[in-house]
Amino acid sequence: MPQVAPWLIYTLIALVSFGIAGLLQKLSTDRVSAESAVIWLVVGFVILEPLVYPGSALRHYSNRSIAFVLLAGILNAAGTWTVLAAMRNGGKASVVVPMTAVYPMVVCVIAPLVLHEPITLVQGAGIACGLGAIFLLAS
Amino acid sequence: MQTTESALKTRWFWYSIVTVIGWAGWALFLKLGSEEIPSDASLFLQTAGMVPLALVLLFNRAARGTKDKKGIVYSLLNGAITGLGILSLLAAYRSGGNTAVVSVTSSLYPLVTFALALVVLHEKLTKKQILGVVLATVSIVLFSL
Repeated sequence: MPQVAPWLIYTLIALVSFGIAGLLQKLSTDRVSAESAVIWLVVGFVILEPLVYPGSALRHYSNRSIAFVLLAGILNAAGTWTVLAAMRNGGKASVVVPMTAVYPMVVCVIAPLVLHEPITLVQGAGIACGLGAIFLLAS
Repeated sequence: MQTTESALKTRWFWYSIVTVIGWAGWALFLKLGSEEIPSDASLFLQTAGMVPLALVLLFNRAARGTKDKKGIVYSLLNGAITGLGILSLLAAYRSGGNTAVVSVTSSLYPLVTFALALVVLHEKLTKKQILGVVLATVSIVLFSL
C-alpha cells in the first residue's frame, strides 16, 4: 500500500476543517446571534493558544510587527463577526462562504498602494473572476 | 438582473461585502507582520487580537441572552475546528509540502462547505449561483498561485 505524504494529510485536514467551519457558522447562527457566535468562536480559538504559545521569542519581535499582527487579529474578528451576521440575516452558507472567500481580490487592488506590489496578469484574471462570482452569487 | 438588484437590498449581501473588506485588511496586516513573526507566534498574537472584540460583544444584549446550548456548542466547535485547520496548514508547510500546492488545495474549502450545505442544510442554489461558486473557485485558485 503506497504511503501518503504527511503534508498531504495535513493539507486535507485543513481543507476539510475550513469547509466544516463554514457549515458550523450557519448551524450556529441559526440558533444564536452573530455576536454570541463570535464570543464562543473566540473561546474555541483561545483553547488552542497553549499549542502555539511562542514563549520568550515574543520579546524578540519588533513592536511594529506585533502591532500589525494584533491589528490583523482585530480585523479577522471583525470579518468573522460580519460573515456570521450575513448568515444570521438569511445568507446561505453555500453562497456566503464562496462569496467571502474572494477577499484576496481586494488585497490585490490595495497591494500596489500599500506594499508597492504590481498586479500580475494572473491576479487580474482572479479579480475579474471574483467580481463575476459576487455578481452571480448575489443573483 | 432583477434578482441581483434585490440581493443588493439584503443585509446578508452587505455583511458579506464588509467581510471581504475586513478579511482583505486582515491579510494585508498579516503579510506586513509575518515578515518578522513566524506562523505559530502569529496565530497566537492574532487570537490575542480577536479577544477585545469578543469582550466588547459580551456587553451586547443579544449575546448575553443566548441560552441555546446547541448554538453555543456549534460556535465553540467552529472556533476549535478553524484553529485545527490553521494548525494543520502550518504542519503541512513544515512537513515539506509545496507551498503552492498546499495553498491552492486548502483554499478550496468553499467547495467543501458548498457540498456540506447542500447535503446537511438542504440549501438550493440557482444555476447562476452555481456558476458563481465555480467562478469564485477559479478566482481563489488564481490568487493562490
